[in-house]
Amino acid sequence: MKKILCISLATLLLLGSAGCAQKGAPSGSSSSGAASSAASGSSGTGSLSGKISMLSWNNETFAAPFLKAFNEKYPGISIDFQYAPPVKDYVEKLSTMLYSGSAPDIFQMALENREDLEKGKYAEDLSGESYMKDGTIPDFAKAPYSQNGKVFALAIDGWVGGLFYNKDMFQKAGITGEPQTWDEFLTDCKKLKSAGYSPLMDNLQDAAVNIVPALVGAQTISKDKDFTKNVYAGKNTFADGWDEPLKLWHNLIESGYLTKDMVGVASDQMLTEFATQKVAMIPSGPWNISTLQKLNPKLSYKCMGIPGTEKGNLWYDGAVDVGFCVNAASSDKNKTLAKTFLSFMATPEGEKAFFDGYGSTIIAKGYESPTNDIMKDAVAAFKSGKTYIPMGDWTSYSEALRNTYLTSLQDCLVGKIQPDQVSKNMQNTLKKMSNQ
Amino acid sequence: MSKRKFGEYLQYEVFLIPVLLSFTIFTIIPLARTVAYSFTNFDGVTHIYRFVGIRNYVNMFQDDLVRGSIGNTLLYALAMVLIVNLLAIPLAVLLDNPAKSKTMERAVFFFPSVVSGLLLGFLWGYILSPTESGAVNSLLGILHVSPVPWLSDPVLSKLCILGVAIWATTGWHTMVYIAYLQAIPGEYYEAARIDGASRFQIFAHITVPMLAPALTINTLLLLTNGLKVYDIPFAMTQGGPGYSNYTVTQAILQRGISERQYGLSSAMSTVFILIVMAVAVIQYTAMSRKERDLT
Repeated sequence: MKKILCISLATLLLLGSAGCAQKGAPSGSSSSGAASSAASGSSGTGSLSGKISMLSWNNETFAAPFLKAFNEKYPGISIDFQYAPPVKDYVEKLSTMLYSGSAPDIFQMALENREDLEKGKYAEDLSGESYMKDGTIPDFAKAPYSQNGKVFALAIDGWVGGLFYNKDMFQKAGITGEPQTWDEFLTDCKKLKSAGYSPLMDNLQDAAVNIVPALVGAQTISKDKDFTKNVYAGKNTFADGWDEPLKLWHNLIESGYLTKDMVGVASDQMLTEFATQKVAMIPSGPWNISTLQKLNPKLSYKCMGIPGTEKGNLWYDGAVDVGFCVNAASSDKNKTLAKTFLSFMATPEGEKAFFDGYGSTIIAKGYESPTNDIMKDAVAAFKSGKTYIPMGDWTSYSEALRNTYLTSLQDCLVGKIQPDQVSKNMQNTLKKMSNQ
Repeated sequence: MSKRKFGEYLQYEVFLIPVLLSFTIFTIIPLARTVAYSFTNFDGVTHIYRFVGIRNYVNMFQDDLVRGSIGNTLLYALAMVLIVNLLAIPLAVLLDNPAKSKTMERAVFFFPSVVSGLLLGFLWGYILSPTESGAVNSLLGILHVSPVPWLSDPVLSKLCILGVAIWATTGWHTMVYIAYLQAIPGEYYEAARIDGASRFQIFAHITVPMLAPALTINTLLLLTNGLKVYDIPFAMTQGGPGYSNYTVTQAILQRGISERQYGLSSAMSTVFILIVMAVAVIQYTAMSRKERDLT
């Protein structure tokens, strides 16, 4: 009897393996079950009809105005909208869907997953689309999502963040203007502390919106835009461009402005501290303005840049936003509908609808998005290229480097390692991953 | 086996097929594939990968994150076994009383184990926030005590995680002990009292030995759950500061899914499965032997 059971088990194992192997095979057909309902016509606005699917990393509230405008223009095309929160959840869900051949027709490419999407050839080449050729999309918006001259995602907006500072606290501490050099910044921190305020907090749970990226931008990227490219090529090391900004950042720890209790603080807790006027400065961005308005409508604040050692060289955290891709494995019919969706996004009408929902800074030509006074300087800096986040430059092993950089910063804040060890750890990770 | 006997045998065994089928599909096959992937450079992105021998197993033990997470996980699992058992047995004896409020008393201790670990972790993350506005630090502020870096200090955060996990788990294990306590015949206690045994002697020589089977079950569950812990440490600290609170499961997810090193994380999973299996077998065998000696 045992033998029979063993044979049955082995058969089940084999059958199961075969089933899984089939499931894992690349799919050349449409991922959307609704694709079959697509009509045959594909020329002209009125003749386009069918259903396409989309996986977004912003929820439907953000996407609603754009979807509505698209529907008015193309009533025959319906969108099956799905959502997964950024960044990790989205990236993991999408990669599983892509690997198993069940991905939607439209998905998003971020700095965190562009390497995977390009490696797996999952996104359709968009470089032949009119908006890519007629100057609607500026080159700097194409660059993050390009490889070998091909553009794989459409990004029409960008984001910028900096240091939100409490104007009243600054005034009471005797600070008359925004600091223009790192030394002035340290002096202002000292004044705030003397006035009895906690000068600032840093966000060490977020690799993009903290003080270090902007400092690296001011001290290194402003002088050598190809710095990271050269690190990958082995001509530079991370230490060459990161040690100096990290030492400047470490001044804040040595002076007692950044304390180790800040290491476990999440963004929303930091926001509460700022809204309740317990801290004078926090790294943040426009996405938090409405929350701050709710938490403390009387709060008077502005977003300023982080100064480097050179006078007036203020940098911000920021990058081109996530791009929209067309699934290379979708049916031709669905690809046409998905490309129509993207083309509409790159029109002035689409850009406005996009801004109405997402509220971000539109960088595509056609629609000038209004800017909140709080973010005015930050947006101007973004448009002049004075923003930086390291993941934008990390074209390979982005997640491994991001994790090393963030955990090393945390270790540095709690006094476990010195600032030069952060860049050494990053270099080791790059070496280890390159040897894989 | 005669045809008739085989037929009779199949009457019962056939009911095992659905379980066997699902166990094969959801456990055996993924397990076999994990072992297979551990010898490849599979990245979970492309369908192309090659055999790399034992390279992933070598790299695994050179990884600081893996070494640290193994230490954290072992510390957590052992502390949970020891402390939860030490608290749950006396608590079970206290709650095993005929008072009218006994159901309410038991419910109070059992309640934390009903709620999801992630939810508890996020909630305690807020309560123990190291900022001034954290719930506990706000209370301390009223008493003019400086904020305590509950979750931002590597040592203190470990203690906080353990504290929350013990609080969340003890009630459930207490219920197991209560169930076994209620199965101890009253005559044993009566005879001991007639013989003049003290309360401590009764506890040490009747209650504890009779609870030996429950101790075996609870220890096995605490050990295996402790070794695969993820939710509470992650929700409270995201593994930080640095890597100081990473557990093995979080390290596997980080290296595999986040960093696209499925080969490496498959090797980690394979070794981890073997460790858990070995620990469970050794613990169960040793405890069963001890159980026989005690009873």
